[in-house]
Amino acid sequence: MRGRFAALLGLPLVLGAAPQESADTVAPLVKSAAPDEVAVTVYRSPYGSGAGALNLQWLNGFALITEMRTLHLPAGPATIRFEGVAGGIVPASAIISGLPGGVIEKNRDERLLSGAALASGYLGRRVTLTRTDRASGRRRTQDAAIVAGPAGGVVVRTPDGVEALGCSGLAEAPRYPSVPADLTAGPVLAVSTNSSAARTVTVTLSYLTSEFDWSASYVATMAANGRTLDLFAWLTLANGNAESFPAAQVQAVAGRINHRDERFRVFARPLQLSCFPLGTTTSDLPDRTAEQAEASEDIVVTGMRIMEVSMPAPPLVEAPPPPPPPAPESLGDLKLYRVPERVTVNARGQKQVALLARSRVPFQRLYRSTLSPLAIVPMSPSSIVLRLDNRADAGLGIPLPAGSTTLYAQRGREKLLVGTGDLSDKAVGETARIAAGQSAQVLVSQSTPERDRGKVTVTNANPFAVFAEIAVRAPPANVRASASLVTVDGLPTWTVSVPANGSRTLTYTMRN
Amino acid sequence: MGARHWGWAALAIASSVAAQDIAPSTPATQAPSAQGDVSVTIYNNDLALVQDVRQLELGSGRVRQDFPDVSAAIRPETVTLAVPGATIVEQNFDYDLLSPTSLMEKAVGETITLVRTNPGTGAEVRERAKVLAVNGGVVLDVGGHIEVLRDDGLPVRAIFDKVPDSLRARPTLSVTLASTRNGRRPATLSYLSRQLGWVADYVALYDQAKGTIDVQGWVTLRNTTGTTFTNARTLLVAGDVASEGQPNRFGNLQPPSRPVRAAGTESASREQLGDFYLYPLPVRTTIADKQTKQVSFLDVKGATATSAYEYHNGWLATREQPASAASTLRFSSSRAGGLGDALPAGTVRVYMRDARGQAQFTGEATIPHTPQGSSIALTTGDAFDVKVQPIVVKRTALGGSRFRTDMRYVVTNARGVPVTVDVYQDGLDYSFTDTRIVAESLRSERPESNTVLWHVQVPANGSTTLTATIDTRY
Repeated sequence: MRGRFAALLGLPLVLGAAPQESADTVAPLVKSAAPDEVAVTVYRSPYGSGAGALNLQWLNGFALITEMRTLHLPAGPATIRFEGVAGGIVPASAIISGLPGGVIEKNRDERLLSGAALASGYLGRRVTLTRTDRASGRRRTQDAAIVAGPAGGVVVRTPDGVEALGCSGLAEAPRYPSVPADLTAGPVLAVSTNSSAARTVTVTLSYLTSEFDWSASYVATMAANGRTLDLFAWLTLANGNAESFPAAQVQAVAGRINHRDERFRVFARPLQLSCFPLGTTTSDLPDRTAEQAEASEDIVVTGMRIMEVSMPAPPLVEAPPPPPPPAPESLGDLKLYRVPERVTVNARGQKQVALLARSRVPFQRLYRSTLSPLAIVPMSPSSIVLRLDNRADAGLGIPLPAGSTTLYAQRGREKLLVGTGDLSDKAVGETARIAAGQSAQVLVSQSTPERDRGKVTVTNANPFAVFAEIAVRAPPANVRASASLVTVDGLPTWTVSVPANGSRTLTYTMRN
Repeated sequence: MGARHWGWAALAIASSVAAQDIAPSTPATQAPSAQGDVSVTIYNNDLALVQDVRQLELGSGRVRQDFPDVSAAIRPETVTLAVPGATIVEQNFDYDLLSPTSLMEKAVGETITLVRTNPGTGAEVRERAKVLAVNGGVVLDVGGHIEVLRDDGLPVRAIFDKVPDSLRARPTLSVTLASTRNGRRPATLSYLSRQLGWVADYVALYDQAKGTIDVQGWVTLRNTTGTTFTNARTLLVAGDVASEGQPNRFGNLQPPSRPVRAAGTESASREQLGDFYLYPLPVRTTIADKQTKQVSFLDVKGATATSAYEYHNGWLATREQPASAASTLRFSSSRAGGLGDALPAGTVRVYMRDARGQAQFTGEATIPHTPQGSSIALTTGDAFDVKVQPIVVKRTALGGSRFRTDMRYVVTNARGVPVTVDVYQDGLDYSFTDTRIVAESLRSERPESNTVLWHVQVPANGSTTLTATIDTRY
């Protein structure tokens, strides 16, 4: 315990002096602090269903950032530093166009300014060591040179001799005259070019970055007549990078695409001041009140205010007012959804914009169940789904990206949640099903009165007739049934209308 | 330059001058390097050959020479040193790095200075102490009394007179030479290093309407050795120098999608070393530690390319939901109509322009080292609008182990243009060879005994149903 009293030392930084250039840097440095204009295209994770909430700590999608930057280039060779690029940049994906002299080489340095990087940058060079008297507050400074570190601890040379930093128990810290030129606050992409004349140019910089993702959240509201629904979808996009993209043109791409997750996120390591062994006479004893008392110096008390949380009613998802967003465009074999207005994508933030909206989409309410052939199935609830045909003449006809669905029903002036589920990518012309919960009123059972004969019974306790779809997981032509079956989703399916407070029965045999 | 810097480093690290005598600090981009004229040859599989010519001032007889600023990821067993008029007696690679712990351990038996500070008054008392042992804690002999350093928790500075010669600030190679003469001469140091490797990265801009791609190739090298190579002549070698049977840390980079469909037989007009292609960088460059560096090596405009769809179905697979066909981009690396170059292994990122003309990313694929003249099919992702639903319609037992399987494949196309989908039914044979296609609604190909392939044409916004009856065992 004792040895760790100063193990972590926040080093004060003297940042006043301007970074100095190395003498051997021949090419002049052109700094580009921020883009004039930025476009963000967000891609979802290549893995997973695309449904469900985004985990903001672990975003598996990515984004293509396209920036327009204005540069004042000198004649001759120059190094351009693009600052403010996203921390999750995949350096190999960077493309720069519009440089008249072309790109000679692109470099991405991961040496970020930190306490450890300063100690490393000043290895063998002179720093100022300041010791503060804890009793009087008096400060004494001393010239020192860092002779080793920062891995495994820092060793300094002072006029007194050689010492280990942070091992004496005194309040001591090194101060540096300036920041070494190759250390930067954030990730930087550097490009060397050679322009024939001095000029001002606008270049386009684009790169892929990790730590982005998006999902679609469908909100369907059934009309009171039970025949149509209003379909609305949120585009939820999240940025896990520490950089913001103000007034960005934002797009989202749907469809699974190949992309290897390459996380180049930079972790600036804190300065670890390890000391020589500092075990004492008593430090190996198991129970020492004295040490505990001293150890209390280390204890970081994280206070937490107990907040009075008045539980507000969960906000009802009202049909939002924004204009219906434009239909997506085809991008090769993918779908590109544009956010109609420029929006700001905040650092470590999540944002929702309207993805699509369609009203009065007709649907068919179905009770579905899928059975294994000739298995004994006790009375089981059926799944209620709303079947939508994704066609223009059926009120829809728009590519539907995979996402989660939430279904509401109208009860007087209130809305009630009736079902939650998932949706996979649905092209135009396909059938989409929106989950509407499980029914304990419409139950399905299966028995085997004979060895190769199955008997399916569906019962309806509702005061209205229902339409049921009961599928058997078998090749369609191998099933011979007492009623004619249709093939739905590749499975032989009994489609039957079950009267109010009634039941229906099907028998079938399997043949090879 | 090398010798002067080396001398400076030695002054700062090994000598015991007082702080006032330390050379004035000159904040450079990095600490001065002791490297001389550096050449780096980088291979794909995390391997680099570093050749470093340093000008050394050597005496006559047995001399010890340090080489600081070698790669921290050096493979010491591969070091060779050539010095005119000198032969190597022994070489050591010292990992014993200077740290507070190693400093204290090396001080056992030595005398150090203690500066005790009174916490109340700030008054300092100096004492000399002999370090007796460093075993979990430091035991000292202070003027005849034995005590443990900082046993009472009060501030004590432990000041060492000097840094032991054997401790280094950075990994250092030290060599003992038998020198036959005095004087300054070049020493050529060469060694292999890990953590310095390269891959290729390609940017392919695909114009679907014109059926062309523009491809830029970049070599991407990444240095995580912990060492900066300053102003180095750099040569990249495309090829795997680990022979068969030798351990290769990354294994064979064989992507599952098999992008190379036909191996080319053309030779690229690039410098070759045996069977390896060489990519020299045009100018000397500094490869900084923790740096990713990219240099262009290929720029081709208007090569012919087409997009195609493929779907592979496993044996007896019924999909309850239609599945997207794989979207593939096909092109050639041949001189006529293709990229006209050998392609080193790496990642191809494909872009297309959206309706507003902005390039958007549409997927990526990795390729192995690919000779010129190869035909390449990159699977970049799934097609949103082109889907296949395979259905096992009927299974009929024919007696014995034989079965007849009726298959139906519903291929749908929600695009406004007709498409052709290559539908592969896999898993026909396994080890048997008597599988028969009894009936089919479209002529098939049999690229392999285990696989049957249909080229299914699907009209715009339409669907095509393919049926087939297949006799197999089991």
